[in-house]
Amino acid sequence: MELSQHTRKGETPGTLIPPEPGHRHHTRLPAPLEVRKPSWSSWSFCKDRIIPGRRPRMVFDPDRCTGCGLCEAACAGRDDSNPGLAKLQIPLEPLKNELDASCHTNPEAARLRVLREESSGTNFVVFCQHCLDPVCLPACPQRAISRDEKGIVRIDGRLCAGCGLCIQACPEAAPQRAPDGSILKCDLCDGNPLCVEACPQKALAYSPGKALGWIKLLRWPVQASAFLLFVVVLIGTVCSLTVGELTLACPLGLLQNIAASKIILLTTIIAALFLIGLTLAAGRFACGWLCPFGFLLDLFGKIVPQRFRLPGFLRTRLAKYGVAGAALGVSGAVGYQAFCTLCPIGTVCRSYGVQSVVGGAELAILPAIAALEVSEKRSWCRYLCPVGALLALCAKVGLIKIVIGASRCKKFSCMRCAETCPMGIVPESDLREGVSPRIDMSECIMCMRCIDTCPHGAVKIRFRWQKTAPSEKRPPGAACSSHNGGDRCLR
Amino acid sequence: MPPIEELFHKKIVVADSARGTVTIEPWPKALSDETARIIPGGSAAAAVLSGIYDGALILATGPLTGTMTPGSSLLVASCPVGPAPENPGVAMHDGPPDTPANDTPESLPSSSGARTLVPFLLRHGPALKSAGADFAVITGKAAEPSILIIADGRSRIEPAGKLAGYDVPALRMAFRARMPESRYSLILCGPAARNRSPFASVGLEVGTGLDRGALASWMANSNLVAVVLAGGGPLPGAARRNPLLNSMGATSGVGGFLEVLDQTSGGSAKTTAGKLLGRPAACHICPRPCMAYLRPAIVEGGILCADHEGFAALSKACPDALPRALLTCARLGLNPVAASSILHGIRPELVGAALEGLLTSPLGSENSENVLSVPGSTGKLPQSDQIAPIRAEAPSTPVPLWPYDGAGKRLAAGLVLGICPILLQRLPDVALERWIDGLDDGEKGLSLMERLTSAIAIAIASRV
Repeated sequence: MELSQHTRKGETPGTLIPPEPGHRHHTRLPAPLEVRKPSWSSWSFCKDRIIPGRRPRMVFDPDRCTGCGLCEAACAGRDDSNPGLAKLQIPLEPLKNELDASCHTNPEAARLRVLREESSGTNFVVFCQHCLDPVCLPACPQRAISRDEKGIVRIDGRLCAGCGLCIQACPEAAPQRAPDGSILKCDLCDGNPLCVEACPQKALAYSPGKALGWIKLLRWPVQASAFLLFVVVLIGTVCSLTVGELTLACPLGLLQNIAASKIILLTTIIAALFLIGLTLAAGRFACGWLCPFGFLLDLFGKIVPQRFRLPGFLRTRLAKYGVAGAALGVSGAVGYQAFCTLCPIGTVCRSYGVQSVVGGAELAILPAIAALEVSEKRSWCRYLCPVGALLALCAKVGLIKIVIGASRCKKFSCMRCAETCPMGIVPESDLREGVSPRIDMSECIMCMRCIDTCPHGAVKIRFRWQKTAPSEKRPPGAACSSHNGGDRCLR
Repeated sequence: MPPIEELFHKKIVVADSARGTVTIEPWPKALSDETARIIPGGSAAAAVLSGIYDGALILATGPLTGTMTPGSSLLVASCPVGPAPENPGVAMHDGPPDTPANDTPESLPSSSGARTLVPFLLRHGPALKSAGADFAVITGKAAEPSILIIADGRSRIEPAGKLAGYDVPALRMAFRARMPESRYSLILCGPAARNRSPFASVGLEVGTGLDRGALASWMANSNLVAVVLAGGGPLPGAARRNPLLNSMGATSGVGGFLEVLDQTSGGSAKTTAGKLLGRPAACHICPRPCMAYLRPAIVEGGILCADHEGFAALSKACPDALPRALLTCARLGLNPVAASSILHGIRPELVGAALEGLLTSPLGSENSENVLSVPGSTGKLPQSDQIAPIRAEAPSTPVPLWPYDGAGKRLAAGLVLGICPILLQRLPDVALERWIDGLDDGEKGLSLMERLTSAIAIAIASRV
């Protein structure tokens, strides 16, 4: 009796399984993988949120794919007896049928699938994205799916009952049903995907992921330092700070002051110019890196997952301009800086410690605003912050912009920039259409998470007048193309 | 490494349209006997089978079809020739088509009458092998329009029903709606063939057909609306990776299409193509794609063009209306090379009407000045006596012949081995031995190359 690579429910380790036609042989079943369920309270879950580990993945460039199917053939022909490739399969004894073992394979048994649309010329390779929160994992009633320490989502063949619920749950239907009914799913060949190696057009690329991007590494300390500076060291002065002869002030506070007092002082205007100048030069850098309340929101957003979604009518970015206008109008009516009494940024600073009992009461607004994070990251900044609204107007005509080069971007198989953007301004629809998306710089808080997370270097900062996107580096295989002959690559 | 014979299932699908039966049988004895002497693949096997199944349509894969060898996508269709107005043909000898054949083994006996060869690339070959058979033989004439579905364990002949009246894109969409999850390859009989037009060509799941030898007419005569290859089983030898695949660089962009076009027609078609080309497309396991999507403004999505000769012929005849002509040919199931003969000088807006006229117009006669009666058309239909059967020594393959010595032999080897003959010719520096590297078992007393040469000779001689 020969051994088959396909394991089935109810079989014990070491079970000898008759070979399936078209599949190579399998061996003694290994020890079971630990099945982990996501738990919000577990340390590893929190750690993933705060300090995400490496998240290996493959990316697919549909512009390069010619639909030749080499990736499928390479995957289906994978030598699973190599323990380095698949931990679930360990050879038990020499294979008896040399022909069946080394020769017959079935492309239908590949772990990825090439979908070809001949009429429109679009080829698409479907494979597991190894999501941070895999929806297939909770969908599996047998707990056969787990995410290992490398971030690779695996199916334990011994536990899998072949129900196909994971296929139903996955938005891309990435798990594949093999001809024998079992479920197969990409396991990245443990970091050396054969399909990537096989692809002659380099349409598939493997990225081991980044442990921690340097921008992220830098931004958290800067934010924390700014928070400490404004909240602890310079208590209550974030709205108007005097350093020697230089006075810095919040532009919204300045406008409210003018509206309330009906007096325009040149010194106050100059005081507000610093923040405006910074925004013109570097976008809403202050929002992303310096704002103490933004730091709290980022921290809160890291810990609390986004589970709800605001109603559509509340998710309008123009609302913050309305709030700014209302703040000025009310200030003019009541004769003092009305919004400043509620401003969460000022509240964080003014109310720290023993400032006052009243100030302590003001802190009650903070949890309410922070609760918005349960719906979307930086909801306050997106929709309501009037200070951000003023800075947005400046950033719109600022010197810099963020561009995503279509030639480098791997588009809809990646989407990391869209996933990580706290302001939600990377348009996924543009990415799906394969064009360079327009980033609305008035909404960008210059956190640079998109630059940090892009594994392909497609996201760059450019001056506004620069028209070029990041240049494309041709893959080695494509570099030897020629229109006449094309044989120079033969070695 | 497995011997080359192990790269087959050693099964054959026999479909009898008249009886409506489809069976999968072991290889016939005559074919098995040949294995002792030749490589029983592709056109060589079709030649042997044509001696057993007289008048049948034979679909044959090669030993390397479906393996991890570059360009291993070929399926050869062989059927009795029908009258076709345009048959450029490619002689199976070294050198350009017009030079005399000096190495054709004319002394070998013919085992059948004149037959046409139509090479199918894309994924047709692997699809047939995935269905668990190496060859398919289709005989008889169905009582009503039918569909032959060859699938692993589910091969059958079904009534076509309403599909019998569909044009090629509609047929394509109907199959997609019917089998949304499956992979399949199609050979479709369009309106031109159903109208017994000698200009007919089979339709594929791409924008252009590949048929110069009236295979479509054979299907129409047999009441076959479509042949669906929908195998999902294992491919013999698919895990065997030819080292050539590692050493062969990739062609990116549409350079492959332009290169083949250059061989086919020269510069004018390349210029036309340059305005229309979108992105490349490849057949099964091909690192050097030579197909391309055309992106004309008149069609959303584009046309996948696999017929370089057809593109060149239409671009020569009506460059201003090329997309419309290609689309109409694809829709009606017309051979673009043949159809281009009536399109010279025609006004672009009349191209569609002129091509549709080919469905109903009889062949030209001595008294007819312009059978099409389309204003502005200067093209004349060929007269009956001008439509000759396919030249005996020239199989009707739309694969162009490269202008260098030995190209014909490489083309023939591709048809026998199941390797794309275009790819084989594009790589003259890669010896044939490298394509069959590791497969020589040495058990037959002859080297594999000697057997391959013998198989090519038999394949050629069968058409003499």
